[in-house]
Amino acid sequence: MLEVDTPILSSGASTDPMLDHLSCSNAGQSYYLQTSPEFAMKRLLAAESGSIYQICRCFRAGESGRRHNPEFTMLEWYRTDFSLQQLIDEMVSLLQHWFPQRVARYYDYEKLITQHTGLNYGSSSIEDIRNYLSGNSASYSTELLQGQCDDLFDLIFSSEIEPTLGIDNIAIMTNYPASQAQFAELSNCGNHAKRFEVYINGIELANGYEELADSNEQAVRFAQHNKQRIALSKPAISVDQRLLSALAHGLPQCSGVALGLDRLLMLVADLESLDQVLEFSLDRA
Amino acid sequence: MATVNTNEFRGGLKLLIDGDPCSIIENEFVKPGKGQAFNRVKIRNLMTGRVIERTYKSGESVETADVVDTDMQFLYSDDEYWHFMVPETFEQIAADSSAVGDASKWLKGQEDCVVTLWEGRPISITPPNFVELQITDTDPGVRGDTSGGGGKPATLETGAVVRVPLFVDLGEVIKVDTRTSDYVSRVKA
Repeated sequence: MLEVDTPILSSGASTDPMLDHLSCSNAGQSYYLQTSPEFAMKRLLAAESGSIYQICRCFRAGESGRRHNPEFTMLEWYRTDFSLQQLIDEMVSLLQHWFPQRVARYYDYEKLITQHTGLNYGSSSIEDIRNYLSGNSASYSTELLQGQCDDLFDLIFSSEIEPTLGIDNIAIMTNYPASQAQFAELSNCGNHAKRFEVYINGIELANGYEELADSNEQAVRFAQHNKQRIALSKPAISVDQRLLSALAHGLPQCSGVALGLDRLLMLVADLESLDQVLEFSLDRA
Repeated sequence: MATVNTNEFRGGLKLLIDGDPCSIIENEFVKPGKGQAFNRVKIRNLMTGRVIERTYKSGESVETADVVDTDMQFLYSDDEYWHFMVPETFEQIAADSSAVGDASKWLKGQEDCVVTLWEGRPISITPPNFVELQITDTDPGVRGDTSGGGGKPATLETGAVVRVPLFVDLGEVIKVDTRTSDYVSRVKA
């Protein structure tokens, strides 16, 4: 596998409605600081780089907390001719290097939601979900309960289920609903995303896709995301035309994953917060 | 109505929740890879002392409570109220028993206390960490017993009951830690 080093600044960026970018300007032109090196690496893959990896700094505005720092380090890699399952297996064996006692345990997003709440993804009404959340001891603010079904399931998932995952194993979450596909291919039936996430000790560590190769579908998702961004009163993101052209040229079948290295270090060192592993977290930067 | 954004949340910040003033004990920012960010906070209700959990959408505005801690001297109590004064301004306030709570058992007069005011009204009193009070009732002292083991109950001039070592005698003044109700030492007259 080839190590690559792509630029941190770019003219287009991830449209993910839940990510906020840092940006800067040069000679009157505005640039985004990458939230992940995904798009640049896909352009290399389309240029027939073969399997590649890099360790780089990524930036996400406003993310400060015990497990977040706006500037952090990512290990991201792509394997050509790899299915999602092959990539999961590779990820698990990498993590077992530090956690040899732990085995992989697989979870299905929708089944886990049902097990935990009795609600049904896709058929429970928004009132059912709100009732569930209102009767809950975590006591959600009314503004949080305003979201759509998907937002509310996501809230339940991240607030109540995530902290219980990967306590003595390596938790692999799969079978995400298509609405959470982001930049992943869909399953053959089209209902699910070929996406996985990895959790250890309740901490989200990695996020992987079998990569979406269809440039038209990618353009549609960019547009959907920007629509959602505007509805959330967030600025629309300049669509990365260079990525779309690269996909149109042809992305080889591949799977890729991003792993938060600071969090991994925190877990390996058995520490509680990121500022214990960062030289200078943002408040001391 | 004053509000604060969740990104300004920190320990000690006072919020108004369901009509009661509350203080943030712990604030955790949670940002899942997929969904929206939220703040999970542990809060103490300053009226009841109960600790509750709340989850807010990151970036949402929350009403703050006008709560300030003021250094005041305890003056005296009548049947209904405990009276405190700001030494610099001689401004006085009267706190009722629900505000004074357990602090009353350490107060005899002139102690420097922290009075927590919500919109100008006292809602809680924090006594000094250490007070010196005279023992008004206890079993006779056992001379020569300087071991820490055992101990006996002693009633102090304010009515508080603390455990003291066996050698401590009626009429002596002792130093007590008000946070734990622990005996610290005898105070030489």
